[in-house]
Amino acid sequence: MITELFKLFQRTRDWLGPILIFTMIMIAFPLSLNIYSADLISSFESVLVISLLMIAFISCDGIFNEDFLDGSFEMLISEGGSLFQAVFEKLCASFVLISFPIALAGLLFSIANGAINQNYMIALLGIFFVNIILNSIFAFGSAISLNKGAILGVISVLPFSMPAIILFGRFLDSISSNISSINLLQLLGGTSIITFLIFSWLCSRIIKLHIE
Amino acid sequence: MLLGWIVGLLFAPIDAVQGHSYRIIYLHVPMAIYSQLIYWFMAIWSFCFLIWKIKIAPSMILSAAYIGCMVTFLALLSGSVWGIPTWGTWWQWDARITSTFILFIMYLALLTVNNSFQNTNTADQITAWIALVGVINIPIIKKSVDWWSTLHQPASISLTTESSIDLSMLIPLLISVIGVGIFLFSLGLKVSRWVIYRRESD
Repeated sequence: MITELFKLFQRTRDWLGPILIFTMIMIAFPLSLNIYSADLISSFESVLVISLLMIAFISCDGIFNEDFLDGSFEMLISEGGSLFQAVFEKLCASFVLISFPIALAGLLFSIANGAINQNYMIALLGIFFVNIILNSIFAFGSAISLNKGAILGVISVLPFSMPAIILFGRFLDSISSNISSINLLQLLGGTSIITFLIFSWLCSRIIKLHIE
Repeated sequence: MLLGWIVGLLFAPIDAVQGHSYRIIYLHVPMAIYSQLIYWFMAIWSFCFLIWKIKIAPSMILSAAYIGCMVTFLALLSGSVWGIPTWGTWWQWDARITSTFILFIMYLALLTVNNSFQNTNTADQITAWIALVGVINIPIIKKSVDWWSTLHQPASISLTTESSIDLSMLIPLLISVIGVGIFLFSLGLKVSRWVIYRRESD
């Protein structure tokens, strides 16, 4: 896990790029409307969801490419190592270096745009959990489209993100209307753990299939 | 199928609210039902393939994807045509319509993925995994009219509760559903024969 974290940290473009793109979208969004417009609050939720989707795709694009092309995965299998563990660690590293900062930035922009007025901790966790779900799904897409280009992965897994988007939309609705959203947060948390584990396993199966 | 359509289109009574336009139900409802059923069929074959490596399963999955894609497209198209006289619009970003549109994209994605790999075994296994994971969307499509307040009406026919549709309209509808099912089954046999032939010749 620490090794993966360190490896990802060294590839600055891979983790800083998505964060910067997310920040730029969030900055560009109010500029496209009137800054004092009431539309800012009403349309912020949709912009946040779409940005998170896009960033999850960007941050997972090619997540396994390097290890696949340089033969690390192949060597791991031939040595009897666990591919699931390798994928698991890779995803964990991306959650720490990409998902969490994006969740933090998402929260800050939500507050700045007036979409969230209280329950900051719940909002932060909610955005983080949905990031985990989306990243896990897009990592699966990335595993499918290894050496086939990113588009194939996106079109094949994008429909799976629909339940997460629905859930997150409800969560944002409840949090912006100051309704108790702890149940939805728990649901998002549980779903993120299950999704993460299932998709890590699926990714390892698909990568193994590519290698075989 | 033809019997159901003839009775439905010519002899079923006129709807008090929608007039004659409701008759598209005899095409739209069977297509909508089978668009989801075919996905279940595909998912079951995917499961069988991944567990027991049944040789015929990939051909069945692929055939189902072709037919499912066509059926879902027809369901969307007939719904859209029905939308004009009843809602005054061809399209609405409503939960049921959007989720069915996503189902159509899922069928297309499966076909694209299957065609993207040179190695047939890799393509088959990846397609099966995607089909299996995609099942998560089917209950959402089914329940979308209950979970959200949508423009699309809730289900008129149910296995557990009394149907809200009159018997004189319901009987031709059931005949259409059964008829379309038989037609799709025979079409499925033809498509799967073509798929098997194409795969074997490759």
